Amino acid sequence: MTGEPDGPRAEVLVIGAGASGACVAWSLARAGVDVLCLEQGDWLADEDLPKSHQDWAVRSRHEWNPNPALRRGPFDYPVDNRGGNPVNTYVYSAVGGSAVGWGGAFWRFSPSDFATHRTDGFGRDWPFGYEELEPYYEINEAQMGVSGAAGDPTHPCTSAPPLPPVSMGSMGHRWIAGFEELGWYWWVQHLAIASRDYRGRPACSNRGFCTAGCPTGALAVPGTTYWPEALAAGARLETRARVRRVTVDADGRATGAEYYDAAGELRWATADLVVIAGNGLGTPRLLLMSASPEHPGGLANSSGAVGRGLMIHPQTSVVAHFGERTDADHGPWGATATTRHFYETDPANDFQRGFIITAMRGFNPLDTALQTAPWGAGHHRALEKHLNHEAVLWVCGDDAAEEHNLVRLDHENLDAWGLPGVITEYTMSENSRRMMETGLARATELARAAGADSVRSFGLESPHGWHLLGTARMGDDPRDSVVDARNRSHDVENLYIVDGSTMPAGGTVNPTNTVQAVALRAADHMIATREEWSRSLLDRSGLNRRWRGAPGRR
Amino acid sequence: MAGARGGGLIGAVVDRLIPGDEHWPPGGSTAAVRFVEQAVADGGEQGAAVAAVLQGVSGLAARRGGLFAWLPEPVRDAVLGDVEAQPGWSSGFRMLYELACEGYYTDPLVEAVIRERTGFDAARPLTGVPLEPFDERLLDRVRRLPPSYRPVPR
Repeated sequence: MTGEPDGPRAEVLVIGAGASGACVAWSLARAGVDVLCLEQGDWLADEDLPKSHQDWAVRSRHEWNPNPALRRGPFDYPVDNRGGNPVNTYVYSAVGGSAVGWGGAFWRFSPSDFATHRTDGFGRDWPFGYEELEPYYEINEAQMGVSGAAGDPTHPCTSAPPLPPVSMGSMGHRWIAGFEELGWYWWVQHLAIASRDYRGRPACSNRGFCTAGCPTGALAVPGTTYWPEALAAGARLETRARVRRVTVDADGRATGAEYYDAAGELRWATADLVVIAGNGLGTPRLLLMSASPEHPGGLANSSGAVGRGLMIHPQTSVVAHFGERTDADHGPWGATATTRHFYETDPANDFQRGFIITAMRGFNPLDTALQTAPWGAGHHRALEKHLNHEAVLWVCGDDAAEEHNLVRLDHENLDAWGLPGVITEYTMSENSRRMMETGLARATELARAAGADSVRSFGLESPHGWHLLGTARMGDDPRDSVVDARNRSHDVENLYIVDGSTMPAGGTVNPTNTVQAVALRAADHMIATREEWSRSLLDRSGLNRRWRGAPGRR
Repeated sequence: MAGARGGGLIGAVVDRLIPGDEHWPPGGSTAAVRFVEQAVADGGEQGAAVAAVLQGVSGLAARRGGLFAWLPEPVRDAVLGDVEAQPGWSSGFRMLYELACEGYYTDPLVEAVIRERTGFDAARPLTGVPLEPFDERLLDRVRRLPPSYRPVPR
């Protein structure tokens, strides 16, 4: 495509309407910035959510499957997972991104998560610390409507979440009894689920199985928290817009993006500033697809770090079996409580850093049957043994960025627009393996303390890929990182990357709260430096002599 | 409970994958049959794999004496076991089983039995259930513990 722009123009173009893109659009629009967001997916209506239907468990395995390789939705790009431990990648393409089919776990990182190299020689340090993010956590938790309790001795935060904890139910109390029996630190789960009516969202009605969508709206998703306010403040959101590359001018400045609109027409949206919010797979994919003669290794990739250092949080689960019923048919699925008892490095361990164990609920009948019941004569006996007699303990640990764990383009498998898919390659480190083995042992100990008579494990071979991090990492050294401490590209001064791909270290807890806090902080920097990058602002103020030149593309 | 043995190959196969007993209906009399039939009719990778498995079932049944549905139950189970063990059919056999379970466990008839036999009420995930608010006094012991997060050097 050459010549004049034939698409929309904005002061800031945000690519991706998920958890981080929504934060940036919200923050900028409220500051009076003209924002356009391009989202490859679409708005979700209630009828799109599995939980709006009686056969929700079936829909969750097909059109709502979190793994795009299995879902094969109309807005997905192909994902091929390889390596010693192929990641079961979980991403959605929709307004709200992957935070549409999630459990709402909403912790803050701990101070040590930002300094693992300084403290333990493990992984990479963030270029700033926890204190820097604290005000943005506060904003984000208020906006998302987080339920929880103040006073957790395993974290320095002293302020209370805006809402009290969600209900535990009998299974929660059983887990608490286990924690108390062992004398471990534990805390009530912090969740982006409304425990009371909150800002137009109803209190949770305890339907459970939250990842199958929340038709009531009690579960916070960007489409009901950030986006309505962003749109009311003037932000524009174009859905079903598949970006194929970010464009740059002769000076190396980003000028916008080429994309296929909902009608399949190729268009060029232009802007003074471009923000990529595409997650740990989509962001490196777009940067690598934006290669040009001037950027042969991909845009913003002079370091070679784009796509490298994929972190997933080594994760697995223990499923505890109880003689009594576990009330698996109700209550927020991601509740009830989490322990950070094993969070920090312990010299007594044979691994560095640590893990959390989150105490959850049981599976639905279909998933229970597929996991536990053989075909034939023993089918019902197995189902009756396991269904409503199980509950899950999820183990999630810290992961160091390793260069052989990566995301790269797949030119053999193309999306519906002929654009390349992605290949992930992931092999669990020996540190992670030891950590998870200990995590499984500790989770088993907790299960027994809570009264379980047996456990089964999901193992480590194909780890959950809920958290895809680190593939466009942040750092002070342009030779070794993609963006600076403000999420601005080292190579392209008016290009920001704001999603989880920028995390130099992934912490040990669910990352969405931190992803969004980082995005809000980056947006503040964009606002503070607006006079430096905004041609629109300068045009309005008559100061456009400071502008470096008209956009043209390479 | 009686199954759908006379209702064709798919019904007969599903009857053995998920047999009935005094509590549970056999797969062949539930939505499991429709799920498998629909997948085969839709074609695609899954439909083709399942169709190949069903063809394999028919073929092995013929070698053992006739139509699958007319064979004694132990022989039918042996045929299915042989098909499952074939490397070329094992993934298709798993797909067939998953389809059967998807149909079975979303059939209202089966949901009623699930509720009766396990206490899991399939209506609750759609309607919710009242729960007592969390009692923060449960946190008292932990609140009194010393801080355990790690200080970070500047």
